[in-house]
Amino acid sequence: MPESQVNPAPDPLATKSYSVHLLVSTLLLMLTLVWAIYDEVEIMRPYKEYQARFRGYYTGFLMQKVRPEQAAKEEAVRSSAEYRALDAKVNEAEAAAANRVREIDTESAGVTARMTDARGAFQILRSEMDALRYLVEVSHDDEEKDDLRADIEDIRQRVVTAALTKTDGSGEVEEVEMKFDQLEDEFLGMQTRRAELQAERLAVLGAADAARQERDAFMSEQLVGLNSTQIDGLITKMRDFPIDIKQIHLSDIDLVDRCESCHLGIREPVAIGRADLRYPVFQSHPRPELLKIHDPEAFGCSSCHNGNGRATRSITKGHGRHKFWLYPLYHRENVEAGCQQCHAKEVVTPGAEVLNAGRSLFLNKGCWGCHRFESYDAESEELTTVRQAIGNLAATRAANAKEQQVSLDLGDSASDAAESRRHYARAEELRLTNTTIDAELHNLREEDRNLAKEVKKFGPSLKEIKVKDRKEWIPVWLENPHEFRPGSKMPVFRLSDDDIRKISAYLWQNALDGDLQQHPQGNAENGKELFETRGCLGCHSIGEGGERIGGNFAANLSRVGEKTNYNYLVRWIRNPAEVTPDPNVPDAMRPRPVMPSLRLSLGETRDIATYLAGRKTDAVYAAADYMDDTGLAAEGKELIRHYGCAGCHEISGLETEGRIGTELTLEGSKPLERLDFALKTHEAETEGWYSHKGFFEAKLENPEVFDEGKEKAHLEKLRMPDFNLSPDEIDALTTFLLGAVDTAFPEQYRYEPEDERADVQEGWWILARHNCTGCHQIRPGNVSSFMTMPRYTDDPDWAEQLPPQLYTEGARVQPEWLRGFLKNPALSETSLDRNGVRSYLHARMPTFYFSDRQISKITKFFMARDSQPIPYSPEPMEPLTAGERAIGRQLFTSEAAPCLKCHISGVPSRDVNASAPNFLIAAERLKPNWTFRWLLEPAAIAPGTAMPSELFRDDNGRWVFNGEIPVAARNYEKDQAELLTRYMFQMDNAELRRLQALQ
Amino acid sequence: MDWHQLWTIVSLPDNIPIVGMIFILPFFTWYGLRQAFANDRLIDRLEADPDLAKTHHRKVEPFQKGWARELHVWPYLLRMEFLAAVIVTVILMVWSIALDAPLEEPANPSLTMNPSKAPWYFLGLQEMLVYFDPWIAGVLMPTLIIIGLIVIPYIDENPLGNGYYTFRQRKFAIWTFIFGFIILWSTMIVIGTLIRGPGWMWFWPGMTWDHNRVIFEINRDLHEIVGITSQPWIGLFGGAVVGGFFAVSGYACHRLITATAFSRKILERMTLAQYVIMQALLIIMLSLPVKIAARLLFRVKYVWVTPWFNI
Repeated sequence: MPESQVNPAPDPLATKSYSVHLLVSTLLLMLTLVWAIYDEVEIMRPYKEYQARFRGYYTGFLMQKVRPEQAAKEEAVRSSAEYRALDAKVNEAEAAAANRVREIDTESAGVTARMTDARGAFQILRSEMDALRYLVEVSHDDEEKDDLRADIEDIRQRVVTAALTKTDGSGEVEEVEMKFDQLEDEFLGMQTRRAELQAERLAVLGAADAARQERDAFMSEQLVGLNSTQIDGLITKMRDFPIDIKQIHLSDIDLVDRCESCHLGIREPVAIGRADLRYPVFQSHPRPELLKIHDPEAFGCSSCHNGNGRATRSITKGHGRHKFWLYPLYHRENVEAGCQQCHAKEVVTPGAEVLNAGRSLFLNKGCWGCHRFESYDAESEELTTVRQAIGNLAATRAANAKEQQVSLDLGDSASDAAESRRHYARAEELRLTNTTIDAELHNLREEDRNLAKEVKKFGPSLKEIKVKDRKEWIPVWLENPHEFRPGSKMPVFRLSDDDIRKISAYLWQNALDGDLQQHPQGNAENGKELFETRGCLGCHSIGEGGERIGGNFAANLSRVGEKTNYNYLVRWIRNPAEVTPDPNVPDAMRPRPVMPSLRLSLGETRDIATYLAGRKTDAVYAAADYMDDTGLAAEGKELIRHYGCAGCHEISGLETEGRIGTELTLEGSKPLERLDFALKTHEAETEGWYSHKGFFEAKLENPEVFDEGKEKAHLEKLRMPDFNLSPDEIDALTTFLLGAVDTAFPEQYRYEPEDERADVQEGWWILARHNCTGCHQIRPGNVSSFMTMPRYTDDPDWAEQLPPQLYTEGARVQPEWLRGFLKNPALSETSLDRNGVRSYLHARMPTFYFSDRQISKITKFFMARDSQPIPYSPEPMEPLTAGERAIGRQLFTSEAAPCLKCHISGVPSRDVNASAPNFLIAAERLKPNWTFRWLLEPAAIAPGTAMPSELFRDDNGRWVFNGEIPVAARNYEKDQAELLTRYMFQMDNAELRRLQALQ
Repeated sequence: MDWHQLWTIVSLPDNIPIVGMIFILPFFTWYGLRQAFANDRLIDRLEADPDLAKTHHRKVEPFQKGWARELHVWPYLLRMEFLAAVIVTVILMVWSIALDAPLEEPANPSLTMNPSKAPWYFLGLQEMLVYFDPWIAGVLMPTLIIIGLIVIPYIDENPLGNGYYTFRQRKFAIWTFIFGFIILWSTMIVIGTLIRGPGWMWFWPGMTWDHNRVIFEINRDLHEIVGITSQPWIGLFGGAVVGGFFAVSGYACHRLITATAFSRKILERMTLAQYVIMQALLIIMLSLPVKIAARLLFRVKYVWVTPWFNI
């Protein structure tokens, strides 16, 4: 059967239709295309939704809340008499100018129209000529050039018809036939006339403008927040608000921040709260004052806050809170970490209180005993450098001297004169070099002496324990210091019983032997009073739990009687610098204690020591004879080295031990993989704390946390001791560590000033190390230990006993005086047992063991803070006339201003009741400018001061006494406050006697 | 069973192709083979019935008389290819929208990531580094692979099977492909992706990739196991073992190649050079799984240690 006869079913390959497949897959393709576009335009750009919402909410917020509120405030200002007077003035001036202005405006309109018309015709001709002129310039054929010039001249002579508006204000148009030059004249003439008219208009309206400015200035002065025009401006801005990426680009550090694409309210001039625009994302920056000094246009956002400034796709990506972004956004509690990266040289940064707390903890919990951190304990490193430099220079000097001798000898024995001269010249050169070296050495040795005084270990010297402490107490203390003294700075080491025995044996056997002077017991009751008022509690605390009073800079002394013997306490309190002689350490090399001397009399010292020695519980201490076992001691030394005790304490035989911990200066930028989460890695990853923050927090909360589950020998375990930190303290320290980064910012971004602001930075280090803020208020918001004690808060008499505020110390006192005062606060070589300035205060300004360099730095600190120059050169003061002196005397003693009632005047019988500083030393201590301001408004300088305010009133730019004006002063024309200042600064003994006689 | 860990690995955008490969590769192998077997059956029928052979062509579709023996590329092939192109485009677009490029943190030269993995298509090579020295695994082997691929058309002159799927006529080629590509190459990629964790340690699926994991694994050279301690005996011993391997596996391959009448016929057509080159490449390919087995099962580090190279 031939194939053709068969009628087979159609071949599916050739005939099967794929239309449906094609249709479906093409539709799918179109669908994915649509999806791709939607993804690109919407899903990948979530900020569009944010911006649309912001526009709506913000406009509503402005219209419904801000505008009415501000309108009410504005209305209040408008209805005030002053405003109405100013407004009337504006209207008056405007009315006066109105006629002339109208005339000018009419003429100006005509002139402008005619000018525009003339310009049109004029420009056509000029363009034609310019084109030909160009051809002349580029032509190389003189004949052609001449032809072209002729053409130009033809155009110049061409008469054209121009339609010009008349200037009479009728608006009529006249047809004028003109040549090019005439048109030009017409145009320039109109231009000149218009300028004249405009100048005249300004002049005519001058008075009205000035009045309006005055009125508006008054309004902006009186009105808190924005005025209605500004608010309307914002509303208009929202109406035309473009939906796009809002970006800050800093080209020098290649920073691109698009944070404001979603955080749209951050820089708005209206304060937007978290809930005002429904979503917290739209709130304005909670601390706008910070943005004023760190303009986002110059600093960006992520430079302080971290996060991924470029990313706009999702919150997680923008905030950089995922595994692959190395700089995740700081959490709220650690936000000040961002400050540290540029303010790394500071220990106090105003406004960054959490960070300051972290730095303070690092300093005052002794973290730097084990962990190096740049700037902390910088003195010991400087000392090493200086000593090395001294060694090098001395060696160079010796070599030079030797070569000098050789050159001299060679010169003596040289055969010819030239040779001899050459050798002598060389010897001379070396001699001169050595003279220079001598000068350098002198400076370095001076610095060495200063530094030797400044270098201080964190903890007490353990060389003293034999003369100081009870033997059996030592192992108890080592086992758990926080049990004996809750909150102690000595952390809890995880020592085995064996460790404790060995360590205490070594410490005991290597402590110094010495004899203490024996003292009779004092009066404990008086001791308690002195202890609580002399200033001990500025640093120390006493009492436990709710009973606790005092500062936390130094030890809590509630149980000090259990450990320290009475005679040692007397020696230590009376003169902390006195130590048991150590044959191995010369006196100059001996570190000075942080504890200052309060210049107490022996009696007072005994009273306090008696009181403290009685502070004990009836705890029983087990005998510790093993501490005399020399075998244990040998092993103890290795353990002490292992646990790094010598990082904080002076220990015999371990004076040169280094730090055992890891350096933390750049800990925040250490790669996360280098932080050993050990067996916690997986847990941290799944629970979301696999981050620097998580590591620091876990480690600070429980220093052995990363040993959990690990099989380790006792000495292989993590050594970091437990400080029992509170959650706030952990936050503060974490903030500090997170900010401890290797900053990528160039120098101009970092806060490393070289002017007087550097003095402020340096000064804070000394102030922080010596706890000046324990007694004084140096910065607003700073609460001293005294201010927390019930005695000072509850009793108004005692409130006057608070140590002085030092907010404006630099403006108040003269630098040279301050230097002397810091060296010897008694201001006397003989009677040390007193305060030099405020002898009425129970609390005493102690004598610190400052080096000269430190004193100089502190002085510079106070001066720099108040922008005061060093050295201080007083303005010459106008001498007092006899009449003025009499007025001054009368003012000084008047009923309304009884200065001598409070101020010390040098009469012992009266000074007993004095409660204000000694004004006899005013001339050498104070600055006249400050004194003048102080007289006018003391409360503005020292809030809460007992010095009365409003002693003077403003009488047309002149200050006059506010009380009954003394007879002699009634006809006095000049400033009376200024007179009083001069009187004080020109006080001499004769005048003083006269003054005292009046009293 | 750490499901979280398993999901982390499987869902990583980088690993999606591998996970896909695990399913797609066997599927298409099966699909191709099914076609091959169908064709083989057709070939059987045509060989048995000469009449049928005159009118039939080797189409897989159930053949009917009257159908054209050949079809034009346009439109019959191209429309299918176009359809395929559209579908692939859809898949690629959905993929690129749904999964972001797996970018990680900026590179830090002083800190390598752990595990540090090559792109997925190179993971087989990286896995080979476990078993051979870098210059063998990273230079010699890849070069041989490329050379091997280049010489295939010069070794394999069998004209049968061109343009249609068949198993019976290309048994040797198909087995070599299945062994060399699917079993060796792809499996190594899967191991490298899913099995190798931190420290390039072996983690079974579902085990936690623990960076702190410590395992006791001491690899020794073969001569140490036997107890030979000094050169040149070490070198000679290793050479003998490697030579022995070549001899034994060469013989085994030869037996395999000469197993059927069909393959003997093909062998007869080959020149000696073709045969030797083929044998050499085959044996070297075979050495890879042998070394893997020796390493993973018997902890053998090197078989042949010489002052110049180690294998």
